[in-house]
Amino acid sequence: MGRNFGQERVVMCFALLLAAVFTIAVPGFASWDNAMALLRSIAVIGVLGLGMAVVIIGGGIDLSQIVVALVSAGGAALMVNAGFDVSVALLTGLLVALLLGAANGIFVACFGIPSLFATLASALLFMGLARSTVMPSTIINLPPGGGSFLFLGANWSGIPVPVIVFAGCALAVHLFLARTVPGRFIYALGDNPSAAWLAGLPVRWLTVMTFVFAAAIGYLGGLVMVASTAMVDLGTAKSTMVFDVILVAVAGGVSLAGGRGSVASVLAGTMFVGVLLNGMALLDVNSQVQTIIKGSLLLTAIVFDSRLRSQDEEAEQQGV
Amino acid sequence: MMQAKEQITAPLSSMSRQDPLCADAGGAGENEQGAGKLAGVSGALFGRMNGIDAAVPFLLMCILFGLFALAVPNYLSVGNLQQLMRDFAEPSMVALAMGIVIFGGGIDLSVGATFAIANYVALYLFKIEALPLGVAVMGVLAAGAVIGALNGVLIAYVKTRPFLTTLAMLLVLRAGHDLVTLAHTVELANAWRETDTWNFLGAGFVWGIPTNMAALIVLALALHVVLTRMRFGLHIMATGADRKAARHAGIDTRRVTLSIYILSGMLASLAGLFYAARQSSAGSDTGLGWEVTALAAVVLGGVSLAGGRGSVGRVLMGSAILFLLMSGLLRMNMPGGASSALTGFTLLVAVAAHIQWSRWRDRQRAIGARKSSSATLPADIADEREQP
Amino acid sequence: MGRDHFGNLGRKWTGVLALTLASCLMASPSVAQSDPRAQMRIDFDKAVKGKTVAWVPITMGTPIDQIWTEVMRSHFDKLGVNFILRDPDFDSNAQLQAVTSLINEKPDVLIVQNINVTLLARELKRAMDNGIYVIQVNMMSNQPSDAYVGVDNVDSGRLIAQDIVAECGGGKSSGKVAIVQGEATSAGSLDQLRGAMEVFNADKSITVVSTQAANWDANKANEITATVLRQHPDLCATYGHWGIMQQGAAQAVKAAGLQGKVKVYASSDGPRSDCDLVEEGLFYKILSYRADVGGAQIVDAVLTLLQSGEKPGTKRLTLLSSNFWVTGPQHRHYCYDLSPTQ
Repeated sequence: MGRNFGQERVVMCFALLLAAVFTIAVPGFASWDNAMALLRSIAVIGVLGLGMAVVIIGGGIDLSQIVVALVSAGGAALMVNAGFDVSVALLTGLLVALLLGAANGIFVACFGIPSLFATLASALLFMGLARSTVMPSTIINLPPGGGSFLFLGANWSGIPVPVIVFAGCALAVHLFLARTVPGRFIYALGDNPSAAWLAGLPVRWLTVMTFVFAAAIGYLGGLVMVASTAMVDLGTAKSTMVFDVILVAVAGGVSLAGGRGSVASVLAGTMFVGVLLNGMALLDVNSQVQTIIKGSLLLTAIVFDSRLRSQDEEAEQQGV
Repeated sequence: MMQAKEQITAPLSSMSRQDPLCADAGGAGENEQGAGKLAGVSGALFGRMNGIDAAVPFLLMCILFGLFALAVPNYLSVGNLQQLMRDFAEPSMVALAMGIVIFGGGIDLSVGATFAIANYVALYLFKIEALPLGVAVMGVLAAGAVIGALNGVLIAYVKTRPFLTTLAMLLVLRAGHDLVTLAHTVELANAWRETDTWNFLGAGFVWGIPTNMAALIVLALALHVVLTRMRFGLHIMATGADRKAARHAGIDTRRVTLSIYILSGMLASLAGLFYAARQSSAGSDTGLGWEVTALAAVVLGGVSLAGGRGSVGRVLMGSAILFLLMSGLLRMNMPGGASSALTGFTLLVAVAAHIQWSRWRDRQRAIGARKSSSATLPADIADEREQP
Repeated sequence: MGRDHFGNLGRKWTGVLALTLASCLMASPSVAQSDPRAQMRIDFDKAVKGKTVAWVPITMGTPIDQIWTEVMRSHFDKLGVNFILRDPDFDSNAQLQAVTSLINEKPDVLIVQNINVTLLARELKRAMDNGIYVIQVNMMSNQPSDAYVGVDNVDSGRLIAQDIVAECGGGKSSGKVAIVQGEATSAGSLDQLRGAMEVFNADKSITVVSTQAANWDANKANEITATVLRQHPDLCATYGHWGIMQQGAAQAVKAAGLQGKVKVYASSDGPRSDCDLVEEGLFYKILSYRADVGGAQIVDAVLTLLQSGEKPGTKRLTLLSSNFWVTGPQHRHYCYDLSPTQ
């Protein structure tokens, strides 16, 4: 993990530098309200990024994360609409997410399908199954008044709840990865699966676990999204949001080769994107131009990172 | 610390590869650069799709075609077949673009966005600026080449990772596309210029075959010749198979890498040109998700994502399987959800079946090899190495 | 029994026979001028029954398309019309493929909801050249066809803009307005924008600060509006091209604590959730064109064309839907409910 530390630091420095520049140059940036607005805007991507990071550290990737998030949150919304108690609805949604995550894990671990392809196909499968059975509508509105579901989108003594959810997830994932045995094993799995297998680690279970974890965290992200708009819009699954999530995780230092990265990486990547987008919004920059600048700066971060690394690049270049 | 580990494992693996009696088994192991991390890379992220015979995708393609010929009325009529070919051509060109890069050991997630930009550029140059068609074509190809060059320079010379670089490029290009289409919506909507050649590109036929399909056939043949008979093509495959070895063999891997990305950009932009001639539409969902479809096509054809193996034919077969599936389901009156679920399910089953079958076959061969030599890895460990 | 008796009987029976013959002749179609009502039904069935109507919406997943389909199907089933549906699921490529392959199957009528103005233009012309009646619903393409059923989008834009000017203009507020477009190249957005800008450009006190496109996605509308609100916290109004999409924007206004201060407008097809949001105070006003009524109008267009005897592509019919303001619970009836199974 030693070599990777550099990238997180670089990106975090970038973010702090930007924040400093904006504080001086942009009026209104350095205020509590704006900070909260900033954090709220990146909370969902941040939460999803945490889940994605766990999968990537374990050596895989999950392109179906948005679909799983929306379908499971949609399931919870359907239950609320059908009159079930909110806690029952939330639990059902969680079960759906865990099931879908386990399915992903099984496709990858037991059938040996490469995770890039498996999750690409499972995204189609999950969305299709949901749409052709319980969710024929791409739009599901929460009942008027929404009930306690909506607290996830609201504010709690001045702090937006999505931010609290993000902070909570970050803490939970950090404890899991850094302090628990399965967490350490996931690093081993991603770093060198053959060695992990030879060392006796239950590689299949670990793989399934990473996908289940990503799905559960994705579910939380989905709930926050749904609570923020008081509706489920399945159309979002067709957007490029999943690529944004991957980019946020990876730019912060989680390596696609597996075995490297941490919660700090995701936080660094998310803060960088959040500060950037917030500052540009205050500067009245067009939304698409914002994305272009974001993409370009991330490219720069990637270039920077490759310059800092060692030069055994042939090994690293292969297919990644 | 990582470096040291790689240096230890690398020589071991190259030794095992040189030894013909090792558990190579005609399929296992030839893409492994090092037993350690990269087995992780390929294994977990992309898997090892070794030695999948071309027969399997071909069979799947025929089965799908037969099924839909039975289930959909008028499927085999000339009109419908021509229409199928016309719809098939552009996604396949994009799949070829992805395929070329994958053969060379990289990946290009920006092909869909390049296609969308090329579509817009074609419409802008031809319809809004009313430039002659030849100039518009040059412009479109140039746009694709520039995007490809950007990717290629970053990946080959600055040595950034292909996945990430092309991913960031995808986001930048998509945002750029949305920006320019938004700025010109009214002009695009009202532009109404057509010439005979433009109509020929979009709606014409060459000996009964739609123009864009004819172009695809010519392109595919040309690429096949380059990849199998010309030195440049062999350099691409070598770079994809083992970059370090290729470099040591004297191939300028950086220039080869740059070339494959430029080629990919140009192929994707050619697809955009035909699409513009055919549909004259530039919307927010043009080319959206096409990189995912292209990737799926490549994998379905049995091409290894680790690079160095595969052929143009496989990419086209994979693209055909995907296309037949999706367009057939559309013609069957099926609601969007069911066709999406069936597509996902078929993809999973097809690839899982491939992998399980090739594992079984590798195991059989390893058992055979083990019987004739004691200096091999046990068959079940050689098999387990495939696991993520 | 004399000749007289037989004569009388004969006359009686002849009379009965004549009467019977006459009534038989009257009942037969060839002498049908005497029963126009029966003939009406016969002619109608001849023109309509057994005909094939093909419908290609943008997606089957949204309330607007679901209500149209529901209404159409309920009528067509009863009239003996064969109703085919293709679902492109919001994919323009799929919509083009669906329309192209349907034309080859030669339905009698083709009904489309254009995802953008240029995509289907060529194909619709080809359909009409091939003897298929073409009806465009809600969003037209650049190709005019036998019928258009739906709202006048330019007019909707004007109406909403005029109300915004009345509420925000003349120094009453900052005069800043944000427009949330749908798919920028669709008729729904192009035309609403044109109508609205006509009105806004004529008023110096109004500034349009943003015309971002959210591509009909409520989550994107939420993001865009949150950004715009950070840029312009003194925004007076936001106008969305589709109610469902604008719901995302309304929630962003609420999340920024500006509910009631920023007026949220939308052009709506009238789903129940849009009316609910007006009553909850999240929407300020919506302009509903009542897609359930629209569904019946589409059926009318089909019946008209099938009975017209005109060759496809020769005449043009326009069935405009009317707009109704929804400002509170008193206007609930301008919104529709889908069947419970939806």
